[in-house]
Amino acid sequence: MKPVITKNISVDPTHDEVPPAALGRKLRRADDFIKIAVTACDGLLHGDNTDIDATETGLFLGTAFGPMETNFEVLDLILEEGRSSPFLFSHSVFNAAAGYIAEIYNIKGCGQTITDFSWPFLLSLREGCSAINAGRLQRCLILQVETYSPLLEDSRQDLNPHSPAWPMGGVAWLLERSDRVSKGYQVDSLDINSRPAAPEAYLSRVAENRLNDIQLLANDPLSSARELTRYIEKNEPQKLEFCSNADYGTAKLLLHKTL
Amino acid sequence: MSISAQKNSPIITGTGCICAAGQNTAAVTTSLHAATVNCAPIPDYLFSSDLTFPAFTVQQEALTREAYNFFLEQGVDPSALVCNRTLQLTLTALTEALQQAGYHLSDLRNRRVGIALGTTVGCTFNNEDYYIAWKKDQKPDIDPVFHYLDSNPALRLQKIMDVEGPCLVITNACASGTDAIGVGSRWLQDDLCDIVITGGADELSRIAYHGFAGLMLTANTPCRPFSADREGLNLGEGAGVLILEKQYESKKKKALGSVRGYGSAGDAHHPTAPHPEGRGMQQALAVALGEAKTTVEDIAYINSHGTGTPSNDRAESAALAGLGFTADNCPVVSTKGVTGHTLGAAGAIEAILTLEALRQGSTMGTIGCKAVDPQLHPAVLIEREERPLNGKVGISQSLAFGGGNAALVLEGYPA
Repeated sequence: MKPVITKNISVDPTHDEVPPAALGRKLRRADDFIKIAVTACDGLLHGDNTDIDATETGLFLGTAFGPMETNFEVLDLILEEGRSSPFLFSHSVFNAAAGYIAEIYNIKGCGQTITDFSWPFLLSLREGCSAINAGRLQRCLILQVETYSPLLEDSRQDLNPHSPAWPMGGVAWLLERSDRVSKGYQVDSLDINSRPAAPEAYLSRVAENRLNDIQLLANDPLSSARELTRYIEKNEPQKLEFCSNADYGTAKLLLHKTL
Repeated sequence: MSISAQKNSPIITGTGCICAAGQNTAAVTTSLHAATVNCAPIPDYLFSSDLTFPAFTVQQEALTREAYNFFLEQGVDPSALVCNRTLQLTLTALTEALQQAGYHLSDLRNRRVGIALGTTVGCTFNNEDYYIAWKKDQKPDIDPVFHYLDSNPALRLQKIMDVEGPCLVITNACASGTDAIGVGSRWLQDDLCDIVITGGADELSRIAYHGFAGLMLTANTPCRPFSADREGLNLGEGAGVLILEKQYESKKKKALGSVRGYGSAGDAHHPTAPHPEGRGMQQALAVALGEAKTTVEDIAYINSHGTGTPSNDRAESAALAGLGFTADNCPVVSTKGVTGHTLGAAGAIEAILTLEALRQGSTMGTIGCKAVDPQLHPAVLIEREERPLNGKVGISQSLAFGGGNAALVLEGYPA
């Protein structure tokens, strides 16, 4: 079965309600990373009345930096008070967001959190496509979430003093089997070739990113996933070709619109 | 897509591990048989703490001399080997695995080599001195940040080995190592690569040490998995690495065993506590058994997650009982009594120990467990008990924060 993207959403916490009011109580102790991740999923699954068994829905969450600031908050507490907070610590674990999503949306299939500085969203998409292709899942969520930290931003500014700050945010796609859906974007091919790069490359993020005939300007870790999502939403192209060429490798994604 | 159907079970041609129980697989196995428990206060070379929970730590030099020389002899620049402790542990385990599989780095450079590793601490920024100086606005030198950006375990191995292929780090908390092996196996089945280097690694960090203590999950004494008087887990550190290959690629080699099946599933229950009936664990096991085309009756050995916390052991026990595993058909063992809970490395180290038990055809009991909690699964082997295995297929399983569960069905070829 071919994987088809049937829904997608990009979450910008400066414009969108994060978290949605209905989930405020459930997420009252959660950090930004978890709130953005859940908000993105809520955009795809709110009111979901699928007949697919919960064990046949999976989750692949990619991130470059994970809940970095939460990790520092735990360290602050340890250094200042010699103790940790159960909530903070459990939220500092990279797959905490996946756990929240699974619990809130009753996702009982496989769940993977993938950490990568280059293309965490595309790597997650590749794993999701493999699961759908092989018939292991009927559908899955593909996400990338980034919240960064002031320490990281300072380091980035030291290296690139005039570049804009990386915006926090999240992206989520719903991937389903082609025999179950009539409309969406089929994933025709996805090739990712990561290669080791100088560490500066992951902060400067110099890359040629092209989306059909458009050159993408933004180069933050979330930019390719975010711009892909917005482009599909706005233009509904018949075909989509995304290419990225960076110091840390190349990636190419081909999609086509299904009827 | 560049994904096709290649359904043969990946073959394991090399393994390597390091943890408190030893610097290689043979030493760890010896410690298991001798019931050697290296559980002690946190050494100063890791970090200082007012807490007194003992842990299973590796000696100061996590990159052994043998491993260091192995890479130097093969032309790796010494500066490439200057790395964090998690990577040092990984390189030590990798050396053993490559040597067992009979690979020099030059053999791998014209092949598609996938690297799938699991970790928790290995993906975080851990330089406390830098962080403290930065918070005090002392403008510290940026080098530790670059070091962190150069420390993604999979990419760093790719760089050191100078190989090409898919690269991925799984951060599924305590199930990371098991999931990484599962993902790596599927890469071979999907023909994304010819060889996979997989496993998991984690150093012991101050954050994890205090974090688990804050969750009231750590014990003041060496852990006693599945005992009625168990009081929690002991953290540890280590690495486990496996070399996986396609069946036809490995015909000329002495194969150790194969990855027959892998399953992963979510509890959808609680951020940190497992589902009391091990709902997700049952599902992960069912998927792994199905993929392996095996049944409960075929399983000769189970290496459980067995942390020694009341909730984990209860959930795991319920999951196994729910699937029909009984005392008659298969022994259940936890090896954390000699390794400690090595977080992202645990699943990989335990997969290797599962393979060893299956290849040897016998298992030792659960170190630290002198009498099984009567409310738990009756098949748990207790300390000092040794049991011959009635088959060559077994299970290694992991549970994680976030309700993640993962299981591997492994086959061991006779030693």
